[in-house]
Amino acid sequence: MTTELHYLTIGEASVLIESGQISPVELTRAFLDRIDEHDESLECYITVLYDAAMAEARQAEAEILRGDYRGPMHGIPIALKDLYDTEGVLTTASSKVMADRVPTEDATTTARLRAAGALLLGKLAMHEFALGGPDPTNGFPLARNPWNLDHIPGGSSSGSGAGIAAGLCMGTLGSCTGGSIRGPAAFCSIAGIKATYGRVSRYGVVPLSWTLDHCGPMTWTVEDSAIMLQAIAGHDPKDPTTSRAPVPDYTASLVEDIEGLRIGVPRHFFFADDPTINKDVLSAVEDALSVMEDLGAHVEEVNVPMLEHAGAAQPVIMLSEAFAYHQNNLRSKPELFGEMVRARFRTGGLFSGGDYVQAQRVRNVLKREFAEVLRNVDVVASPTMSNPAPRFDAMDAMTTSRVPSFTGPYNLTGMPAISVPCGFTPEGLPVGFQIAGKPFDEPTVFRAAYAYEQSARLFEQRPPV
Amino acid sequence: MPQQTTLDDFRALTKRAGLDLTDEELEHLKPMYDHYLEPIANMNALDLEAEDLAVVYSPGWDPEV
Repeated sequence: MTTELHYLTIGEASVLIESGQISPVELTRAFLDRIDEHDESLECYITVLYDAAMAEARQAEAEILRGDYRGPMHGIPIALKDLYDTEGVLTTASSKVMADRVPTEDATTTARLRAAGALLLGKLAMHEFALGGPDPTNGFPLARNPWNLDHIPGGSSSGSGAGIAAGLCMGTLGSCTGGSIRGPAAFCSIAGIKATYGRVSRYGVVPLSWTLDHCGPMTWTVEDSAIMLQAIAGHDPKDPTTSRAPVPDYTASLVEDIEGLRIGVPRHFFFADDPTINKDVLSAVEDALSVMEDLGAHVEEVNVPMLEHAGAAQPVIMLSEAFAYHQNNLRSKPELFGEMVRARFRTGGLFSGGDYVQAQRVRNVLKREFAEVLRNVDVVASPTMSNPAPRFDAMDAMTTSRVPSFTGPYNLTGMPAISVPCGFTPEGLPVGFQIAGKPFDEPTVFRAAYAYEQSARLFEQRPPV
Repeated sequence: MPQQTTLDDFRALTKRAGLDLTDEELEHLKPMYDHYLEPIANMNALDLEAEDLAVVYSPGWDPEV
């Protein structure tokens, strides 16, 4: 075998597992060895489940040998951001507030991945309560970017981004309130999709902001994201916001033909003449758009005026809802929060009711404007992030707030949005290409992303770990 | 530009939120709050007429409707 086991994709490994060419046991052992070798420097994991993962692998092997193969996630070693509840396994949200919390029940997504046969290697580092930033004051691992250890891997799903890129797990679930799946995906040169609000259950996932929180896969390839989303999507009676809309076959949408696909680009916002937007990022995404045109897509400029106010509406909603959830602990035991998240949560208590209501009304207008645009185009494309990954020593609680958020608008609208790798800055830092689509039209988002990915072939480049 | 908040006003705001902060904590937090003042003022200045708050996000949202 020419590819090392830890660099197999889920799609590749599932074929080898089903045909008996590799066993879940040797695959899991390879990942645990990889974690042992590299996690001390990368700090991706909060908890590694050595014995449990091997026991699950042996069980999967036995099931497959007796002919009970469940599908492409069977025998696949994954890890979860440490805010997905896992029965009997520490789930901290990377906070001392929950330092000893052991759930008695799996999150719905955890349970669905287990039912599909996935094996849990462990729980991954994240920014505290999915917001705090890489904060050395909170006492939890600070995952590092495998492309350059001096830079952050993005957040809040920091361990997820770094872990996938470095080959420390095959797939993971991130959570996303303003960009916490797509951001680390872009910074670590992996794929990550935030599915439509209501497509994936949030039950058993520690909330940040109920109306903005989304769940979704983070993987090395678009195909792997489609496979993982297939396993977790669908109505959940435990989450009243989940949709009863049928779940399509996502892997069936993975075709390279995008002839005639209409792509809208709101240049007035994502390519604005703004000194806080990195020009190397824009250049890489311009190249990606050219590739899409070469593949037969039609790229046109579109106008979404309310994007101008998304950067105010999103944090007002997010921080207000977060304050509501955390306010009692913020008053009674503030010392348990890291400095970064404590300050940001406190800010959420200072906005007025009028601010929150106006932000929600702005959100409605933004949704309607995107709905109008999506009458005439199939997807909307842009850079995922306005800048490459910052250095650790440049981070403070407001670093990400000083530059435009290119991901937050789709948390406001609930549209599905993916990030795929589209190149590197001259400094060697990854750049992400964001493609968003109509609600519940993940298949078209996957098709566009897959066609680009297969043309650009950046999945052939791994970080220097 | 929105009116800047004095430290005393800011202390009152935090107390109203149930936060009992030291002077040092107040001075640390105020720049973060101030950062949001202008974009929020611009957002609040929008005339959204009768835009209905009750239209919360529906998972069944369909751009054709």
